[in-house]
This record gives sequence, structure tokens and C-alpha cells, in this order.
Amino acid sequence: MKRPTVHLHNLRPMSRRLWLRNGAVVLAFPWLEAMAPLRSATPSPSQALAPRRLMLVGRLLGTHADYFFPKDTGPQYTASRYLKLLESHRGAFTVFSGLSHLGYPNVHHTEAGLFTGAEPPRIARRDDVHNTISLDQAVAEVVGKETRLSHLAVGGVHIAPMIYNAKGTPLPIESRPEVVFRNLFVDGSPSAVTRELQRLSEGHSILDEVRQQLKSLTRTLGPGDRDRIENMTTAIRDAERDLVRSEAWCRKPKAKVERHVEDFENPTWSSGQKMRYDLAFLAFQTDSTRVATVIEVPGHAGDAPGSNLDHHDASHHGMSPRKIEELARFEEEEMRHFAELIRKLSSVSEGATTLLDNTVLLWASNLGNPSAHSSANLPVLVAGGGFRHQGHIAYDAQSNRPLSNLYLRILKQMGLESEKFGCSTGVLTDLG
Amino acid sequence: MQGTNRLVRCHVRLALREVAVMVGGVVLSVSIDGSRLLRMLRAFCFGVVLITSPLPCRATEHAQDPFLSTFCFKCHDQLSAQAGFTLDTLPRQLTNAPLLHQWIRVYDRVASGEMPPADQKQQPSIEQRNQWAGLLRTELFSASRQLQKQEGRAPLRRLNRFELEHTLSDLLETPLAVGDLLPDDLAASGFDTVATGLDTSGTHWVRYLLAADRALAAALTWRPASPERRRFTGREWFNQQLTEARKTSAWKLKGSARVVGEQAWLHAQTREHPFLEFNAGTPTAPGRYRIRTSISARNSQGEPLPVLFFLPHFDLDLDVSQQHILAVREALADKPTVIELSLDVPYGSERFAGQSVCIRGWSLPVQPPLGAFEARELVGEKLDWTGPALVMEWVEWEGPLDPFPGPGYRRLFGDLPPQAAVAGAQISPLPPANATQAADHLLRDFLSRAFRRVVSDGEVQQYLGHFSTARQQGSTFDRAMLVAYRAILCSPHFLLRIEQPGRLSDAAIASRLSYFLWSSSPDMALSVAAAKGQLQDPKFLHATVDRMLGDAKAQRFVESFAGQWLDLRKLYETKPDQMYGEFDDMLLWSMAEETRGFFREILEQDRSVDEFIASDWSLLNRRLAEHYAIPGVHSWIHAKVSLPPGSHRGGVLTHASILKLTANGTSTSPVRRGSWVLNKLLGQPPDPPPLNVGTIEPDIRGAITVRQQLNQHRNQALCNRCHRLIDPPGFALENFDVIGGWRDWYRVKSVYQARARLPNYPRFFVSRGADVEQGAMTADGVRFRDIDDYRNLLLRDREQVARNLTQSLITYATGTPAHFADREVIEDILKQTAPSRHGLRSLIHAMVQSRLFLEK
Repeated sequence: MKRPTVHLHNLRPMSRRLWLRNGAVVLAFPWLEAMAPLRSATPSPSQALAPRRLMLVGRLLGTHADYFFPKDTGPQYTASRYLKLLESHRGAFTVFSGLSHLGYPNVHHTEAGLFTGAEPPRIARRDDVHNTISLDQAVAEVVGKETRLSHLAVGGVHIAPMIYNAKGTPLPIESRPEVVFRNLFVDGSPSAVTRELQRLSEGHSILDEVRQQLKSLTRTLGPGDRDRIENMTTAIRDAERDLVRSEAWCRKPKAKVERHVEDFENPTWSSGQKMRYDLAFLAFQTDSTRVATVIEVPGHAGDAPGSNLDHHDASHHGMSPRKIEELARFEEEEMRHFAELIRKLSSVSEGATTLLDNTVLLWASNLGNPSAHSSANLPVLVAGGGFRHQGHIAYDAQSNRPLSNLYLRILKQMGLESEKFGCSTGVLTDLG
Repeated sequence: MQGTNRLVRCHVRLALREVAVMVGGVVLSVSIDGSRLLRMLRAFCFGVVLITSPLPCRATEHAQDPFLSTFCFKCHDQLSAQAGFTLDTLPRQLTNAPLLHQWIRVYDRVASGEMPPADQKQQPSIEQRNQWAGLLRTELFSASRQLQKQEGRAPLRRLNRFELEHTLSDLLETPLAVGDLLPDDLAASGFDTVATGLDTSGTHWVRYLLAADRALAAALTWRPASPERRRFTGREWFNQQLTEARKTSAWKLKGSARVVGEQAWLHAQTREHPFLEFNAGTPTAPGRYRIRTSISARNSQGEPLPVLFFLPHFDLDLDVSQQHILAVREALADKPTVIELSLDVPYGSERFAGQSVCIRGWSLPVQPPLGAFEARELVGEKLDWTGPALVMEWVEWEGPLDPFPGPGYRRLFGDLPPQAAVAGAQISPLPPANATQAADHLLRDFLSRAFRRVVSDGEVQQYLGHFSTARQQGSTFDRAMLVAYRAILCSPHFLLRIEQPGRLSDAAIASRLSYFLWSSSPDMALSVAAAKGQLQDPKFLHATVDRMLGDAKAQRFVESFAGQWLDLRKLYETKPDQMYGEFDDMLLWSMAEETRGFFREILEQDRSVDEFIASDWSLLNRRLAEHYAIPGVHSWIHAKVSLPPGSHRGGVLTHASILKLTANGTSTSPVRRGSWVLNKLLGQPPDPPPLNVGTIEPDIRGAITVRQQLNQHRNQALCNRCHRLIDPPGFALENFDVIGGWRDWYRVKSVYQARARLPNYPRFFVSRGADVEQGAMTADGVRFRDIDDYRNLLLRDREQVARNLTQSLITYATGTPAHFADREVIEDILKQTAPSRHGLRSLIHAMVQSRLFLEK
């Protein structure tokens, strides 16, 4: 009773023509020359185009709606309190209101589904989550093969894991920026490299043996367990590929950047955001990865300038004006770091375009109104990525559009044709 | 099986291009294909019911059932499809797990009398209902049992993070932390021991390699051959501190402490500066440490004073988790007593990294922060030394206490003498004369411990192969051994819980027991008993469970099982609003201790699970007693206390911990607390709310209470269907605030409201909002006045609470929730344990002796 393999997502790489038709930007060679000193690997022919990158910023406590969503729509929207901080990038991003994962419960743990958009029953109970693949992994599976890391995930875990592979198994998120920096940019000593290679090669033979042991186990187990062993065998193959990749990259010198590991030590709530954004930025710039997920966790009293309350405490403002102001201190600080990220991405030229043009940057939270734990009307912003940005697109606040429809549009932008992602009901067409 | 399955899948795929998936009352339209739906259905054991589009059902198995056609099809046929559910086309194909689940749901609704609904004119007689239900029950039972026999009821699963950490630590006899290396575990059906949540990804296997490396490194870490011993007297501490303090502004605090002979007298404490705490020492290597101090309380009117052992790194004000407290002890009045803390410092632990362990008081006057008030800088000097003081004679630090080389070395290299230790380098053995023979011997021993069973010669040879290959490639003896050990620690026989269908082998029973009660592998005694076949003897099994529950490792069961059943693990997720100024670290520590201790007491004394609902006792210390306004508790150490009438306390519902973790830090919600009662105590979780239902936004400005808002909501019939069940227990708990304090009125955040004094905290004034509306009516129409009343009503459901706890124990211990075929076993367990009024320990014994535990 072998269960047929079911593909949840019909992802396939787009042909080059399709990519171009979908509005990808054609790049000329000068970009490669300009980038060459930063790149560690010899560019392969497929890199004649600037690679497309995806960056997800996941936030956990929503955004105070009145200070975020503009009252009017379109490119000429009147900047809200928070959007004033992004004013110099007007035109480079779109704010969405009226998007959400329809049917999600009104609780914190919906963060498990923020980037997966899994059907609501899969997310209904915190202690019984059965997730599907997250957006970053869907993309990394396809575009992550040519870089040192298939994806980068850095930030905190709050209540529920936020990135998942195709089997719905959570993947780790590194909390220490310093560790990510070392992995990406700090070469080991020759003896350390030799040791690591030895370790990896032993790893291979261990995994090989694990696979054989699993195979011999299937003889005595029932059909359900045989399926589970089969899944594990797939996981082992993934692990082996991971080791092969590590071996290959272990031999190559890491990309050189003008930053030091000290710059990424001892993160505070605020400086940690900068570190995480810088890591994603440097990794994209050096083509060390093309997919990054950054998870921003709530801060404590004093973490944001002038704050006297914990972030979570302030988010349960119960309509108290003083607490809302406290909340705004955290959110403005987050917005300032985010504005700086956009600035950096747009300051790097890649041929006729910028790194921002080649990076789909999604910024979203799983809560609409955290004071009510509401999962409707999520704050969502998309920047860069070569989209035709629209300023503020407002969907019905009472009858939201599925956020997964935007995800489908993002996949398309990343060159991945797909009919469905999460709970999508169609592709969002408003970004061109 | 394969054929029918395919048939159904084919049907489903044909019929369902568009399906509506209904979960409870929620109907959502999604467009998915049939195979995906099947996957989804498999994933959800809680009722997922599907309706087909109006196509005739071709499943020949579907028998015409006169009961259903008379009483159910009127609403649940293809045309009407009430609640999105059609019954007339539901194939009665019970060998198919998803369909079986649906029929179980039909059975439950009809057998319980919920269906047909009371407002339907045509009702079956009791006999008709019983007869129909009886027949279906037999069918469902045999189908469910058949599935179990075929492949066992518990699916294969891996060790979770908590278990892996403990297993490695116990196997290598070296405290070890590897949690940070591994991806988060997903809980399923409420517990992180459930198979369906424990899949592996490629990342897991890559990380298992790393975890094995860390474990082996931990076992062989170098440390000084003899434990570090440090001892300082009060006078030495004081002089040292004074020298240090002169370098900083801390000298201003010197008036807070003084020397009397060899003693140091602490008259104050500070949260800001380490000047007023005793730094006992910093662990230099993983292992067990012992910290002792001779201490007493003075000028305390005969009362003891609390003493904290803590990690200073965790900032009291900033850290939500507030887990800086390692232990609370007390200094007795006027009588120097030695108090002691034994501490296991795990290798690789982030919590202990570079941390010193400090000791300080908790209840002494708090010094204002340095620099905050220059005028008060010498406040200490103005002390007339008549206030309470903590008097320390000496502090002693000792560790790691394990012999050198540590037990981890012996686990890996047995009696081989170690090479001369080089500071900072791993310990390695002198190469033995006959390397292969030594390797064979060592690997055989290690393998049977790691695989938790007797291993075959073939298996030993296999790992000897790793050793030999490494040797041939020029590795040293110890290096080659480590290659083999690493392979063992990544083997599925180590990482997975392997059980064969049918009655479990002795070794598998031993593993089930040890993971159930210890979250780790069997110890020597258990393995020996398994090897001798003694676990098949019910008496011996009973004694074994008792022995295991008596072991210190059973604390892991409390931490993991109670931590998940009662949600205690979520206690630290929120920090209360500043309105709750009386909240502090000792209170948080004390509330967690109360519930854990309460669970432990019920477990150890085999007390009735009724006491989880209502008890006339609890485990309190002075801090918690103050919080609960219960007089007469003087000790800072939790002890069993009789609760006076009118205290409104007793049973977990009134524990501050549960009340805190069911609030969000700022406001309470009857919905959240009510759901908790239904879910955790009664095991009857409410259906999720319908789509786009909106939420209640708490308003703490004082104008409207959550209950008033909720009343507007409950008037709608759609909402009321579930809220009539959810809200009453929540209303009963409305008298408890977000930190579990009693309230007669709400606290609000408005300067315009009248200020009022907190009854049991006379120092605190808060803004007083509306009065709490007391009492409500249960779903079946019984009025209750307050929590005391409600608890008595809840006791009517005591058997359901026992049933739910039994089911939770089964889910936790076997890694899968109870099946239909398990129901009669559960009823049997309840019957057996009725004489003890369902004592918790009796439930565990009965469950362990049942086939649910002894068969895969």
C-alpha cells in the first residue's frame, strides 16, 4: 500500500522566455564585471542574468493599523505615520491592506502559517499543527542549488516554527547572527578545513549506513511505518546532498566582505535587526544565497528608544493611548531598520538595475490587530522585485483576499510557475 | 487493502473537483484534488467530514441503513446537506482510515443523543438508538482493531529533542545540551511525543551528526583532575567586595553590608549591582557542582528569610522568561544552618555559558539604583543595623564532583588508562595492546546501551568495520573508536523507537517505560529485567513502575507531561502589564512550583484526579500564600497547606500558574479560559470559530468589560452553539486576574478612575474599574454563583476528567491518541481505578498493564 507521492505544489523552473515575458529585467554584462570582485564562484552561464532573490521578513505582533495603513489608495497615497519613514522609497514598494489567511484562528500561533498559507484546519490548534511548505523553501528548492547556502534563516522562534519543508517539517532558524556571518564569510584555518572535510566524508558513510539500516527495518514493519521510513530515506538523501554541497563549498574560499564577525556579536533587539538585515544583504550581494528569511521577535522594555513596556505588553494595548504610543516606539524602530535595508538594496547596481529590483522583499505579520489577536487585515508590504508598484492597494477589510494569492504572484516573479500555493484561489494581478 | 483504497481514492478524485471541507461548524470552500484531500484527512484525527458534489455514490459497500434513512437523511442527504454533511453517499468502508474516522463521528453524534437534534419531530426510541449504535459500534470496533493488528496502533517515531538530550546525557553520564542544534519539534494531539509530529527533514540528519560530535566531545572534555574547591568567609567576601567596589560607584552601597567577626551581614539588596550578592563560583567544565553556605536570618522576628540561588545574567526586569532562579532556600532565624544546592551544568548549555552562580536575599529592603538618587547614596550608612539581615558565615563551591576522567570517558573507553591529560585537549586513552579486541569489547557494551536491546554479533561487526576502516586510513585508536561511536549515535536504532507489530518485546516494553516516565533510555536494572523476561510479569511490572516513579528522573515526566497537559510550558510566554506591580520573579517561580508540586503530590500519593478539579489543599510558600491571601504560611519553601474555607482556591483551575498562562498579560478572556477547561480538563475541545467571525478587542480604559462585549456576541445563535459551552467556565474564573490574584473589580489603565488599595497588597494602589459580574449558567442550565460553586458542578464530570487524563497519558506514552478500539480498554481502566477514585498513580499502573501499552 505504497502511498503515491503527492506534490502539493506544481513548481517547475520557468523557461527563460517565460521569465522575460513576466517582466524580469534583462541585464547586460557590465553587471558581472562590477560584481566580480565580490563573487567567490565563477559565474555559470545561467548567471548571465542577475539572479532573482527572495527575502521574507516575518513579524509576530502585527502593526498598529492606524499608524501603518494609509487612508487613501494608489501611488499618491498620503503617507501614514510609519510610511513617512519609508517616504524616500515611495514607488519602490506596495502596501497591501485587506489581505489575510482566511479562516485562521485569532491566536499567536498563526505565525506557523504566515509563510505557508496552509489550509486553516492544519493551523487550527497550536499543539496539533500539520503544515505545508513555506514560501522561502518552495523557492529555495529551485533557486537554491547554485549558492553556498540554499537559504538563510535568521531570527528568533517565538511560539511556533515558521519555515517548513515540503513535508511540513519545521526547519531551524539560527538565532545568532554571528554564527551566520562565520558560516558565510569567515574562512577556517587550513587544518580546520581539513578536519571539516574529514568530518563531512565520515558523515557520508554514516548516512549511507543509516539508509541501509532503514531499508532493512522496512522488512518487519507495517505499511504505515514503511511509509514513514520512506519519508526518512528521502530526508537522508536531502542530508547527503547537503553534505555534498558543504564539501564543495568547504574547498572554496568564502566571499570577502568589509565587515567583521565582531559587528555581529551581542545583538540587542534593535541592533539584531540591523545585523540580520545586513546578513541577508551581504549574502545577496555576494550571491552566497538567494533566499533569506528574517524573523523579528518582540522586544523588551527599553529595547526600542524611549520604550518603557515590553513589546508584547504594549501590543495588548486594550485601546489605552499610552500603551499604543509605547507600541509605536517598537514599530517605528523596526520601520527605520527596514527603511535602511531598502536603501542598501537599492544602492547596489546590478547592470542597469539595482539589487532591490532583483530582490522580492516581503514584509508581513501573522496578526492584524494584536490587541485582539486578530488574524484578519494583516500588515503586508512588498518591495523591489521588479514589480509595478502601486503605493497602497486596499482590499475589502470585511472580506479579505487570500494572502496566498500574493504568494503565488511572488512565485511567478521568482520564475516559478505554480497553480496553487497554500490556500490560494488565484494569482494576484494588481502588481502587473 | 490496496485495491479498495485505490477505488476510494478514484471515487473521491472523480467526485471531488470542488469539495467543501467541514470542520465542526466551519465550512470553507477549497478547490483541491482528491488525493490531497485524502492526505489532509489522514492528517486530521479530529472530525473532518467531507461532502461530495451531487454525483451518485457508486460504492457498493454502502448498505442501506433504515435507521439512517429514517432519522438522518432528511437533513443529511445530497439535496439538503445540512451543515454541509451528506450521509447517504458516505461509503461504509471502514477499512479505510479516513472513512472510519467519519463513521466514528457519526456514531458519536448519534450515540450521545446530539443527533438527530432535539428540535426534530421524528426521534428514534431509546431502543432503536441503542440497537443501531450497538451494531455500528461492533463494526467500528472490529475495523479499528483490525487496523491495529495489522500494523500496531502506535506509528514509528523518532526521539524528540527533550528525549534525545536526556538519552545522550544518560548514555554518556555527562550532562549535555543539544537542543539548540536541532529543529523545533512539532506537537501533535497535544504532545511532542506523538509520532505524526515527529518527522525528519534532511536538516535533522545533518544536525544529528553535529549532536553526536558534541556529545562525544562532552564526554571527553578535559578538566582539572581534582574538583575545584573554593571557600570564603563572610569577612573575606566583604573585604574583597569593598576592594572591588572602590573601583566603581558601588562603594556607595557599602552601608548596606557589614562585617561582624567572620560573618557578613547583608541588610539590603539590589537588583542592579552585584555588590550585594555572594558570587559562589563559575562552572569551568560540565558536571555536577555543589554549593553550600552557612547562613541565618537576623532581626526577622523569628521568621525565616528567603535565599535565592540564581544566574545573574538574566536581567530581572527585562527577561520575560524570568528563569534566572535556580533554587529558593531559606535562612532560619538566628540559627546558622548550612543550605546546599546540587547543580548539573550541561555541556554546550547556553544558559550556563560563562555564568557564575550567585546567592542573595530576596525580601531585604531594595537599594535604589545607583546614581538614580544622589541624595540617597549613603542610605545604607544611615541604617541603624536593626532591620532584618541575612548573615553569611561562609560559602563553599565544589565541582565538578565526578571523578576524573569522568564517567563519560569510562562509557567510551572503559578501563583503559587515560593518557596524561593535556590542559584544554580531549582526554584520550593509551592505545591498548590488542586494539581490535578492545574495540570489540567496548563497542558491544556501548551498542546495547545505545540501541536499548541485545545486539547481534553482526551489528557489532558492522561498527567494528567503521573502526577498522579508520585504523587502516591511519587513525589513532581513540580517533577510530570515535568514528564508530559517532555512527552509532546517528543510527536509526538509536534515534528511532523501533517496535514490531503485535505484543512488544521485553526490550521494547523497557524502552516504552523509560521514555514514558524518564524521557530517556532504560537504566541497567530495567535492561536486566527486560533481558530476564521479568517485565511480562504484571507484579514485577507494577513494582518497576513504582521504582521508576520514585527515581529523580521521574521529574522529567512531571516537566514534560504536566508541562504539556496543563500547558505549564507556556507559563513564561507573557509578562504582565505594569498595572500588576505586585508581580515579581519569586511569584512566578512560586506559581510554577505550586502546580508541579501539586501534580507530583497527586502522583506520589495516588490521590484522586478529582483533586485537579477541586482540592482542599495545595502546595504553597509564603509568597504565594500572600498572593492568595492565605494566612499562617511562614516558610519560603513550598509545603502542603490546608486551604481555609472561603479562600476560593483548590484544584488547578485556581492555581495562579494556570490563570496566568490563560491570560495575555494585560487582560483575561472567558473564552480563552473556558476553552482551556474544555480542552485540557474535560478533553472536549470546542470547535474552532466560524470564518470571519471577528474578535473581541479588549478595552482596558474602563468603559466596557470583555464579558459585556461577549454578551453581545453570544446572542447570535451561530455563536451561542459553542459559546454556551465555552463561556461558563471562563465566567467562573472571571474573579481571577491575569496573574491569578482574586479580584472583585477590574483593574484599568486610566488616570480618571478611582484609585483603590489592593486587599492583600496594602502597599499597592491601582485604578478601579467595573465590578466583576459573578456567576453564570452552565450549558445545561444550572446556575452557579462563583468559582466555588462551579467547581462543585464540574465535579459531576469527574469521570470525564479521569477519562481525558487517561487518554492524555495514552497519547503521551504510546505516541498516538486513543483509537476507537481503545475505548473499551479505557473504560476498563476507569472501572479498575474506580476504587481509588481514579488515583493518578493507579491510572498509570492500569494503563501500563493494558494492551495499549504492551502492544505496538
